[in-house]
Amino acid sequence: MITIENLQKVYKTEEIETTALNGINMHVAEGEFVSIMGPSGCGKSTLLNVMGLLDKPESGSYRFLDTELLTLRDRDRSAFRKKNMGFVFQNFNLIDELTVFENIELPLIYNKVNASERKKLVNEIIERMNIVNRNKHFPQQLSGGQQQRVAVARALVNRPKLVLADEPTGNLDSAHGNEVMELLCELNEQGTTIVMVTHSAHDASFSNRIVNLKDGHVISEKINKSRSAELI
Amino acid sequence: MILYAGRFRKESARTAGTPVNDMFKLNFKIALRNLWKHKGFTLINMSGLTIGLASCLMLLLYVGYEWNFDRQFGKIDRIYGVCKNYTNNGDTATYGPVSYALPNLLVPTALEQVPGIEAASRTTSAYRLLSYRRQALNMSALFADPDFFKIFDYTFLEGHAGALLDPNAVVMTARAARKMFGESDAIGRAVTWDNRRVLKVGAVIADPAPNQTYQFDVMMNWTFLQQDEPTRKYQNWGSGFSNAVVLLKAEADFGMADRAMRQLIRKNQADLDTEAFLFPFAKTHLYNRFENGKATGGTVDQVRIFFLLAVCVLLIACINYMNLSTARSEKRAQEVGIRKTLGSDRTGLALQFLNESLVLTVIALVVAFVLVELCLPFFNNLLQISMHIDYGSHEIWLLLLLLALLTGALAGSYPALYLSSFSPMRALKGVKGGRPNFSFRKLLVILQFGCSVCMIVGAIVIYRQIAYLKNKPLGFNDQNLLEMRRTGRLENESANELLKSALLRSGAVMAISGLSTSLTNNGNNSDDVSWPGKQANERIVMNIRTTDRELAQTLGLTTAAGRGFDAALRSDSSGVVLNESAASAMRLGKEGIGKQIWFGGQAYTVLGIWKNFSYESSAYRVSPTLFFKSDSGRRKTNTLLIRLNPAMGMQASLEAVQELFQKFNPGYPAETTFISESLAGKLENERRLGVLANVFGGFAIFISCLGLLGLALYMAEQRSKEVSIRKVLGADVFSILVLLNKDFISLVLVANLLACPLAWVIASRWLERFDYRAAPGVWPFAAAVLISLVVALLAVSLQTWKIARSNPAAVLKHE
Repeated sequence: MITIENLQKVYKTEEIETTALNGINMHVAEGEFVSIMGPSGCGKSTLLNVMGLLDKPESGSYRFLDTELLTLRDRDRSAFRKKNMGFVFQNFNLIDELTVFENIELPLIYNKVNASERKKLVNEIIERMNIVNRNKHFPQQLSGGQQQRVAVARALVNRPKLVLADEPTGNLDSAHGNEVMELLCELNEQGTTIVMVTHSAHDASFSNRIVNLKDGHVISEKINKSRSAELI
Repeated sequence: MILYAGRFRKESARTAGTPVNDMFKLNFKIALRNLWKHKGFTLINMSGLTIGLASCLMLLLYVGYEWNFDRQFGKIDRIYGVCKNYTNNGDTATYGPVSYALPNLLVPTALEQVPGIEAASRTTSAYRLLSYRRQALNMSALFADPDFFKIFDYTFLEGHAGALLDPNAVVMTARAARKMFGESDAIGRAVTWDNRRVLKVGAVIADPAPNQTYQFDVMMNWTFLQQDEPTRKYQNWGSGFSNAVVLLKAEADFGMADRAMRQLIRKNQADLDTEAFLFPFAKTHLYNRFENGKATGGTVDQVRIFFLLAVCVLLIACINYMNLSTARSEKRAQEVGIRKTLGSDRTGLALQFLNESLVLTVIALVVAFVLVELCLPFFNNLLQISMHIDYGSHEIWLLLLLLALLTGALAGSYPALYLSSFSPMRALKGVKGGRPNFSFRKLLVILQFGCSVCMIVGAIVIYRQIAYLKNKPLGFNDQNLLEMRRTGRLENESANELLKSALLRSGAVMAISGLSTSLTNNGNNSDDVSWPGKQANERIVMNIRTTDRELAQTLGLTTAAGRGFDAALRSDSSGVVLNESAASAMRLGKEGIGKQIWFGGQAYTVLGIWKNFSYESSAYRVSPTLFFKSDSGRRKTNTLLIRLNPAMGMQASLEAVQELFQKFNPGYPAETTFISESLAGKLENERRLGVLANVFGGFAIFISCLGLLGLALYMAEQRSKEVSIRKVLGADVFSILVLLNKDFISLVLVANLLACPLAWVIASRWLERFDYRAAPGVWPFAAAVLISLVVALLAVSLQTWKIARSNPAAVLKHE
């Protein structure tokens, strides 16, 4: 589904240039659950952001179902993003001023789904995420685990082709963390492609494949046999 | 579960339409909750915007009031006043359209000789007693030809325009009719004019709007005036007492009419070097200063200043709003990031922020509107005018709509453009530091404070100038000095003498003198004056006054040379006393005493020279003036100048004077005018300007400080970590305060540095119009700098004090 070739990304400040991505090549198949791992500053978050069209690399190619995305204009990028991608962040990134329901509803509004259908879709996913009695709450009134579930719900409500998760368990204790990982696994099993950045080997063990980055290069890849069998 | 088996497809695009609405609703919800969450901030932001809008509205209301002078009349585009140019020695002096300077024959002749006139009327005014049964009131009367009502469309409440055709009818305003007859019908009732002539009420019209040139209580036919005062019938083209209004035909060629008007006087009396010309009547009020026969300004300058002030205040409020919302919205960066991640594009976000600002503006505007309504009576009182909001007029609503849109767009533009430009990644991380944008905000603060400082300097300069003019020695004592007109019986010399001696005997009065006109208002002038050594081409207009022996004593004048009038010397009736201006215009010094000068073809001996005294206005040079002695014949005095006895107490002596006046002149109200008040009235425009500059300058400073406060609030959040680290490393509260305040104070200093020279230029230009002026000096500037610094320091310290005292451990833990 995703083919990345020779991505280059350099961060410049007044004095220093930092190469975040240094000629990355990568392929993600439809239905895969890929973990990206590596030490701090290896470029894994940058890679995820480029895949999510949140950041632009200097050069290289990024094809998504045979569409080249790096040459798209800004407007088309956001249109593509809202149709095809869902995001889960380490710090949840919920809008504080909106209730749980409204937060989950937001991507549907951007996709111009009508009100009755929105209600249906949001209620379905709220039920699915086990946060039904929380839907009138504001994010600050929820625990971290609950907030992340809302964030996952928001990422999925749109039924995206690709879910990008940036350390989704980073701010959670292990019990809540596991809950979220199981949720992602389940989604993956239902056919959603997931790319996840993580520090945690435990989290990575939930995925089909682990890609290791260092200094902007892919240094190794490992198929997770226990999970990948299902895929094949 | 098959919930996610189906991918999201395009079919939902069909349902587009409502979701856009929903988006707005949701955006709106976010905005409102955001505002509610940060109530303090919202309050600061909103009150700044509200006060700014209210100030702007109030000023615009005033500008509109002045600007619309006389424009209520339907045919105003075709109505012209007539001015008169008078050329002397290459200099042209111009009498404006309401200077009572046109000859009696001008209008009737123009109707025959000037093409394109549809209707024309002479006008002049008088202030006389009008009585009905026991009710007797002084009324200001306007005399006009019957065409007057063809030119100006007044609303007739009773009767019709034909009433003015009858020389023995009077047209009353509703206000006057109510005073006279109460609520009962006025038409057909008989009233007495000046206790001499009986007139019938022919019509009642609605009161003239307060912003119209012609203000009067009653109106009478021109023929009546000429019957009542036969001297008004004169056929001479050289002098005049009337004004004229002309209505041109719709298809008339203005250029042709004006050319014919310009030739009219010379064509009818060849030896005169004067020309009359047409002047748009709508400009009468705004353009009352003429140079070389052309209108160069006047009230309109002041109206422009107020308009500028309105724009400035609004700009300051908008800048404030921009500043505060951008500062605030950096906290909303995360929201922007999420929205972008979820698929909102830049336009959508920009629209959202614009939308927010528009909503806030509309709310602020509504509150501002209420404020304006509440403050209007106070302002009317302060400015001595009567403005009101006309809810029926489209212009008001259009203005409000425009103001809301403009302010909303202006105030929201920067936050909208700036916030929507965040890249989603950067936004998600939270925009901290944001150095480059902070410098733009600094620029805005400098602009704000610059404007405010200019206003403060302006207000101080104006107040100082007014104070200077008030305190400038007038050359006579204007305290306890009042003026009464010789009405009714007092026109008779012996009755007048009886009153005078009774007044002096009463002890309420120290001195009384007569004068041909009111002391402070322009009376007659003439250039028909000759003196020894006068050049052939020298023509100088001099004021002509008739007075008596007591003038010097009553006013407290100083004699520069020679002597004043002497009652005992009959020969003094062919003598003249000059003021210094007249003497120097004639190049006569002490040696001039006893020489002869000529006025109106008659020779007079110069008896003495009085030191200049500013009887017209302390702002301008004293006009050259010739004083003649009154006699029992043609040269009469019409006004009594009365010096009250301060020992008796102002109120008591005033009452005593009024009582005696009533006794000697029954049936006429004892109306008194204090000279000091009349003189202060001459500075009314300046006073108004000062009041407005002060009030709105104050508001501007206040708003700017709110802006600074908000910025400090923002900065406090930004730098709390830095402050905590510094404190951990051993900084004390004072050094932290210095550190934090330094930045703001330097902004205010830079603003001062830029604004002061500008303010100096503006102030100097304004002062140029006065003959006598207080140099701006250093201290208005020093005061402005000091005020802005102290106020800014206070506003900022409110915040910085808080962070400087905060517990570093608590702050660092949250980082």
